[in-house]
Amino acid sequence: MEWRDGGQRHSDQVAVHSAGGVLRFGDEVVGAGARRMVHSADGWLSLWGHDVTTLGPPPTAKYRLAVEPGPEIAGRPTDVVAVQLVGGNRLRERLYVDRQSGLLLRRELLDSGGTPYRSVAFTALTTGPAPLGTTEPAAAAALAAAPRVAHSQEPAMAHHLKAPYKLKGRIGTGYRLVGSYKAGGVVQQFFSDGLHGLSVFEQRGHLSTAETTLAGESGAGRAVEISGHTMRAYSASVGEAVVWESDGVVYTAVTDAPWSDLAGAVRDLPHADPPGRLRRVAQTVVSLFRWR
Amino acid sequence: MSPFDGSAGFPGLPGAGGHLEDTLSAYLDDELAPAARREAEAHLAGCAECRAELEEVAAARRAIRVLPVHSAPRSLVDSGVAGGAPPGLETSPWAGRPRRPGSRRRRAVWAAAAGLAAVVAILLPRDPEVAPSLPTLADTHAARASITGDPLTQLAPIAVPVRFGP
Repeated sequence: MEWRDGGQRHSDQVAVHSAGGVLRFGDEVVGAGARRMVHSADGWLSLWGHDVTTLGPPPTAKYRLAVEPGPEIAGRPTDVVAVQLVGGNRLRERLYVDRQSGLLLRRELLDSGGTPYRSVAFTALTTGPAPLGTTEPAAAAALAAAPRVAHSQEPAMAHHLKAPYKLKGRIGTGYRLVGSYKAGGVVQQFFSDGLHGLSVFEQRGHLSTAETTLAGESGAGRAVEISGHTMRAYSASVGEAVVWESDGVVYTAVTDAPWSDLAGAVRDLPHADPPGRLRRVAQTVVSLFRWR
Repeated sequence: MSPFDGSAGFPGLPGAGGHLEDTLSAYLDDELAPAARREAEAHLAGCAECRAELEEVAAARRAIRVLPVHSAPRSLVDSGVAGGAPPGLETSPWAGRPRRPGSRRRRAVWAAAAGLAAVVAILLPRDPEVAPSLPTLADTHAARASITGDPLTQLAPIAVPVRFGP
């Protein structure tokens, strides 16, 4: 995979194995049916464990898709799906799909000049009874077995949220609420425009003055201004993220969509300046004498 | 009927000891009926003891009148000196205004509560500080995004391990 961050190009190689309905992405991620697991320091962590019935909007509500013959990717012929905004004249994205299996072999997000700034692709593909680099059935069986889950952080559905959380039906350009969830004190609202996902995570509290945790990765992010408010933005291999605080809630928006989509969605979310000490005291005093 | 009846309701003259006694105050206040006043004056003319006592009572009254006059405490007014203050007692500027009973105490309670609330607000710890773990949230997003039924990108969201640059 490749991605660009502030003009700097990064790349990483990940081995993908599939056997018996279990997909392994390197040593970090496993997908087995609807279950999604990531490897953490304490063992395998289950992030998701059930099917969802609510789908996002159709991609054609926002995008115009055109299919044409594509190049060979990983030695396999493809069809390329060219993605434009409805009414737009600029190519935003290209999806390269295996002509025989329908497997997505390459995905490119394009900047205004048509140059890919984030892409993920297979560089080599081997199919057959034995997994890549092995010939023993035992190894294949091991790969096909889903790992034992040590911890679970699977979210529960949240149809109704108490204040200060608010459910938004639509945000940004064509992003519709698909589901809202709660896990470990974190509320997640998941939106989709039919092609990209956008998650808004909400946590009660005040944004730490310390650097946002990046799990040991370097990267202090960059300051961005949206609707007159300064926020911290981060570019990652998976997409874009922005962190800010408003009225005692810390928001983190993550998306695999272009930055412009994320900024548009954030404009529709609360972003008040954090209250000063005097205002907090006043709010507390007033709240004590408020009858409900 | 006693000549004192119909005036201030004083007991008959003279008193149990044959002297004016309490009637002296009524005499000085000019509260006696004319007949009783004449009777009292006749007694005073022939009783040195009552004249002396009259002089003492009159002196005491003069001494009281030269004392400085103070406003009545508001609590006294609020507690209901019905019919206004006695003669010579200056009434408080608060008197005559409709006051709710116990309003001063209520104000004190509210002030104390507000002060206490301010102290509590200052001393209470702030809401917890949050340092979002971007890799975890990105994984959570990808896990959800990979099962959304997206017909084109399928597992692409979660296929990419989270890496932050540079």
